[in-house]
Amino acid sequence: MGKALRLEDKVAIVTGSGAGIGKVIAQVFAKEGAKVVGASRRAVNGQPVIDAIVADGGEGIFIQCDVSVESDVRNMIAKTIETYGRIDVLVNNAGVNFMKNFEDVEPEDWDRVVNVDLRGTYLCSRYATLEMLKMGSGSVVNISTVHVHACLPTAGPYDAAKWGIVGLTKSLAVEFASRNIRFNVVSPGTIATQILDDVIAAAPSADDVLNWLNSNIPMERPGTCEEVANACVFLASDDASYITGANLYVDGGMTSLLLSKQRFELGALEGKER
Amino acid sequence: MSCDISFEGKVAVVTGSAQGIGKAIASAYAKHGARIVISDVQCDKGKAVANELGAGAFFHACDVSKPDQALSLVNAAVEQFGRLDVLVNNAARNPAKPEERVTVDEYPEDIFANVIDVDVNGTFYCSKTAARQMIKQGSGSIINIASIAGVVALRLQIAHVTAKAAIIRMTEAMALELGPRGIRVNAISPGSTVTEHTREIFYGEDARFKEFRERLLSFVPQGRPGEAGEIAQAALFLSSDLAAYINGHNLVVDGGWSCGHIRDF
Ligand SMILES: NC(=O)c1ccc[n+]([C@@H]2O[C@H](COP(=O)([O-])OP(=O)(O)OC[C@H]3O[C@@H](n4cnc5c(N)ncnc54)[C@H](O)[C@@H]3O)[C@@H](O)[C@H]2O)c1
Ligand SMILES: NC(=O)c1ccc[n+]([C@@H]2O[C@H](COP(=O)([O-])OP(=O)(O)OC[C@H]3O[C@@H](n4cnc5c(N)ncnc54)[C@H](O)[C@@H]3O)[C@@H](O)[C@H]2O)c1
Repeated sequence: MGKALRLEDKVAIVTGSGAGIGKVIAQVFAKEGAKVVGASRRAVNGQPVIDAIVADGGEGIFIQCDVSVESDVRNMIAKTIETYGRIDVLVNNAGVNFMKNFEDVEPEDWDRVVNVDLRGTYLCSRYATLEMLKMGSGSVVNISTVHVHACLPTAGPYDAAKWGIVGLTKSLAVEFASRNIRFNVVSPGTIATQILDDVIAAAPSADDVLNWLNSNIPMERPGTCEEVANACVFLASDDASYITGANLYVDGGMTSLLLSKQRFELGALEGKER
Repeated sequence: MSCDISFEGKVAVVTGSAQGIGKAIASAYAKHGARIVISDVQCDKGKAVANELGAGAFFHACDVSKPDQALSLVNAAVEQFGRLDVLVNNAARNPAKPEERVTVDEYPEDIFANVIDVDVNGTFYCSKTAARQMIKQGSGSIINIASIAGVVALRLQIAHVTAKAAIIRMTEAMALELGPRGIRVNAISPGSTVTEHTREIFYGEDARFKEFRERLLSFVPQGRPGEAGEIAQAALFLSSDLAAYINGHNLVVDGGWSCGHIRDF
């Protein structure tokens, strides 16, 4: 470990690398010596991320890919093999967020969310695994969420898909362990991304919403994309050689917490016998 | 953010580090630049480990089940090195004698009490005194070595199962309380791991539980036990800045053991 690069010469596919967490995973992986294949739906977002990595002395290519479309995924895998000859790491990060009252969830909503979040993870895992089997090694990291610990209302399709990812991961971990391919999950809590900025911007008071969010996190702050990326580096690397089927929460302690500290301190229990 | 794991300038205390996983963890911290306190009830072995690790390491005898000794351990670290960045609660009483591997109706009260004393109370005593120092510093990381037996129950080890489950919950409780004060608390749950101790009973040629070993490994998807060094890597990761937002987590390092069934139905 030490100063050595942790992903030296590994070829790593990162899906959803055009923005948010995926973008930072691609950047951090490149800094750790990986050859990064950035895959994203839109080239306008995805290409500049890889260009910047290359300009910085790193190595990588961009491939346009909608992870819910089988032909796109097959093309992404084929281009990766054409360019680098191998796939060592796959990070299934591409995902769509979703919140809607369940009464209003149309079958099209369900299909869209489940197709990207769950089917996309299946498709990329399947075709990457076929290549990893030829090499006799590989590591897959799937991004889920703290919702697989406890759910939020109005996130039904998203939560179902993200729970599905955990089940798929554990099943594949068991199926491929003897063939030297590891499968693990990283489950982020509240992370400082555009989505969080939007939530804060849309709220009547930025301070109130941040205070409320932080009161649900023992570390009292959102996580950074780097902190999620570093967990992915660890699980992707040989440092995690005996870890498979695990679900690593990067949540500042959120899933250890039952009640928001703020509510508690506001005296929700006042006047009651203790 | 730099992705190097360096513990240059940091101070780590590892309990039960005279052998096995504790020794591997202590060696890994030393290798990455930390100053380190080796501690154990086995003094000769513990001193030998400290000597092996050189100038940045010393041995301090400590029975973690004694609150005053836990206090003296943390004090010794701070007196010698000026601070405490990492505490690894690794010391444990691992009952393995045939008379200790029995079902609940036969399980000896004194062994049960002793296991709780070392594993659970010891983790509490050491964490308490370490937390006081870390709160003063406004930073620190505590790692509790639990076990897969605390995640899923195993037969014939009721004290061990109970203690390790308690440690996982205690980890979460400490994470809640200490998170706001800049201290992260996490657990590692090893699966079956090769050490001097498990080599004796499981993994050696003349091991007592050889048949059991074959059966056990048939349940482990990776088909092999973990190496102590692989547990040490997890400890390095969790206590490093790479894991800066990981708090209250139980990292399972078990070759896939707890995630499913690999035998044919
Ligand atoms: N931001 C958080 O707080 C948070 C918390 C928990 C989990 N997550 C998960 O982390 C992952 C990344 O989230 P984010 O916040 O960075 O989201 P984001 O929306 O900022 O980024 C998602 C990326 O995936 C891409 N993408 C979407 N659909 C795609 C498709 N069909 N094919 C290929 N690429 C597609 C997008 O173009 C975008 O680049 C997601 O899986 C998300 O569920 C995020
Ligand atoms: N080896 C495995 O397969 C395995 C699996 C899961 C969990 N673990 C856990 O990992 C940790 C290390 O296990 P190991 O396999 O290296 O075991 P080990 O028995 O070889 O080492 C434990 C060390 O703790 C010391 N110790 C015992 N009682 C003590 C006390 N009261 N105060 C201070 N030190 C004390 C022992 O002297 C010994 O050096 C333990 O917490 C164990 O439960 C081990």
